[in-house]
Amino acid sequence: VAGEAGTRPPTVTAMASEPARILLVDDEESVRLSLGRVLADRGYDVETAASGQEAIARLGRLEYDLVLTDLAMKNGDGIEVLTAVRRMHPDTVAIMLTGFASLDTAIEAIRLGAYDYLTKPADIEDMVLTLERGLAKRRLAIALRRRNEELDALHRLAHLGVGRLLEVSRDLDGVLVGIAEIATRIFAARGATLFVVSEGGDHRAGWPTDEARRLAEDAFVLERARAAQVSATLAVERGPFGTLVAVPVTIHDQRFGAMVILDPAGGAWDAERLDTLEVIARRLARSLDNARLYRRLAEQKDTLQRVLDAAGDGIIGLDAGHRVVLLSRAAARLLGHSPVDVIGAPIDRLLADEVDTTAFAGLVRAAAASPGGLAEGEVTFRRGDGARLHCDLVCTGRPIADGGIHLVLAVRDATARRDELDRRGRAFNHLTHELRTPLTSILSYADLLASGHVRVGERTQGRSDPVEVIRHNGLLLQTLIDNMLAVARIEQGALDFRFQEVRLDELVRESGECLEPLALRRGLVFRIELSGPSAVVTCDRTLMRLVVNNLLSNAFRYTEPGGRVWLRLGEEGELAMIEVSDTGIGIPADAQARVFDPHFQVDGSRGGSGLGLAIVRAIVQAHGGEVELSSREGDGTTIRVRLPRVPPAAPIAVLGRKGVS
Amino acid sequence: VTGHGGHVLVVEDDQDIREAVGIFLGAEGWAVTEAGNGREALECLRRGGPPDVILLDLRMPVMDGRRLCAELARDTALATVPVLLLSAYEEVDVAELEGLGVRGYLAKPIRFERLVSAVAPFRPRL
Repeated sequence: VAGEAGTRPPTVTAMASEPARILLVDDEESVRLSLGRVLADRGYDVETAASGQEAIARLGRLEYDLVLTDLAMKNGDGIEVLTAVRRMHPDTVAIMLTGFASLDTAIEAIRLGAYDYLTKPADIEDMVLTLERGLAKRRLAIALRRRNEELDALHRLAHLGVGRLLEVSRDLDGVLVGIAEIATRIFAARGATLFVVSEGGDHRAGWPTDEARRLAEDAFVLERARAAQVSATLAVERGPFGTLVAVPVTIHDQRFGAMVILDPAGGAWDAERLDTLEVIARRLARSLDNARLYRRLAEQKDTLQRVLDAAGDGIIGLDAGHRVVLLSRAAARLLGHSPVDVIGAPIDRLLADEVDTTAFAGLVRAAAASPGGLAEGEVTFRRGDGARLHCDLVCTGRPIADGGIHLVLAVRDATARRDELDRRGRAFNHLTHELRTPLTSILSYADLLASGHVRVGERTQGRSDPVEVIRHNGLLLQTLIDNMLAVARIEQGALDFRFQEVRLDELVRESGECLEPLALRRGLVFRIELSGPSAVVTCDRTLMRLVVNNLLSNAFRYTEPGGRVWLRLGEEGELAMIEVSDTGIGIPADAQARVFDPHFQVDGSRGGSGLGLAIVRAIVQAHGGEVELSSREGDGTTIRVRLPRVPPAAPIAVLGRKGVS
Repeated sequence: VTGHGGHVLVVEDDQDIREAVGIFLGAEGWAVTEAGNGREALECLRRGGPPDVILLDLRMPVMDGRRLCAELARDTALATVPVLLLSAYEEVDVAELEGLGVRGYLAKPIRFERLVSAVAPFRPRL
């Protein structure tokens, strides 16, 4: 029951906007009636209870600001009411009514948490003062506890809330509004608004007035919060409002902006409120700093992931226990695992054998010991489908980032590289064999000559003249070495062309006559046919001789004894034409497309480098010409080279089918 | 086939090397038969009977040295003929030598004093 406003003493209305609610407990009806009326007249909202049990029942339904209870009652002890109050509503003020006879009990009650005691019969003014002191204590306790709660909330927000909230919502404004609401509640202000300058320079704020904005901007540049306080009532379009307090939001010299509180009360703020505002501003700054760092970290993580996903190598991140914590898309693809299956698994589980886990451990140690902090090696992984995958691996030897990544591995499929090494190894072995065979003959005949078993110019028992043998094998070696050099230069892009005007008939004749001994030794019929006017072509003489030599070497090599080989020179319109045809074993249809590939051979046992036709085509095409092959297995082969009279200005020699459009 | 100092079959596709070995061993008193590949070698063996020793190149057209070794192993009359490989060292490894059932190998380029001592143990005693 509220008292009438006009009769309230000013002390009560000044302190609270609503009348204090009091529960009066006494088993004597006369006390309940008289005291109840006095208190109601003083503006309190009074309810009464006739017994301890009734009081406890009421306490269960409602929280009172104050309980005024008789200590010694017939039905139930006042101490029981007190303990019920303490248990159920710790902020409720309990005051005991007692006679002189039970003073000891009253002192015991204070020990149990009663705020104070009044002796009966009580002096009214004394009682009201006691009640007011109790109520004031209650208001302070509640305010303190709420502030503590709100500071706790802010604290929680600062330490684990804001960053994650930002991560989820990407909404800084939303978070700021939340903090502004908390600040508003703490100061019972009409509104708080926050002014924050983002790293991009944007202002994130909703301004009630231009003055508030200006004040906030002032606060932003001021060193101390208190200097920004303005106690004046500012006139605005929508009417007057109270005190405007602004505080900069700053941490580690990092200025985020300002917080502005609009206080409708209009008075100056005391030191306590300003301190609280500063605490909140500092916490807000820390929250924003955290949020900024968190966002930057998240952005870096995004960037890192994009870089990792774009990288050709698979990237695997391991934690300190060598468990997978990061798997790039390429790594997932390479290892045939989905990240879900692998994240958290020890790296050893992905490796194929114990040999590989040992090798990996060694690699990590080597990386840790190396000055650059990196080590490279090879390990075999067991893919998700069970297949083994041999990989090149680069491993970092020391932690490179926080956030759980301890080691980073770059993984690349080594199959192609190994195949290429194998291919090069085989090609190298083949070339070695091709070099060694003529060399063996030359050295053997040198020994035979030295020992007198054979003599120069001697052809005993149908055997060859030793000098012919040596010259023949020397020629083979020369062609081979010329080819190897040409291929190396073409592959390096270092083949240089020395163009000059060349009489093709002379060039072709020289080449044919030089290699004729090879044909004779194989028992072949070799014809050189130069018809028509002699063509003059601008070309590189050495390289063009290599072309003719290779065409002839091939024809001789793939034609059985008794067969025929022709070397012809002719013209086709503006083009000069060199043609070599034979009655040899021919080239199977399915191999014809590959004979111009380096290292391809129709029959590897017949010797030769396997480079000849690849070189022929590279050189001819660099001269602007073309190579035409026609062959039938068992019937023989014709290769025709067509050359323009003048080569292109910037010749480029390319090996293999890459050169074919 | 002439001579009385033992009979050697030289199987080598390179004519010049084959002839050089033939000339040298002939001068050392060996009777030399030459074959340009594995198939020719088998024909010689079936026509002329087993020699005292075979010098065998590995890389040859038509029938290579490895294939000839397998053919020899299948033929009871030829399985016991000792074989020495004429080969560059990078073309065979020790494990393969055992697998082929050969007695040893001579590296190319051939040093004739080595060749003499390599075939000497197989020369029949008079």
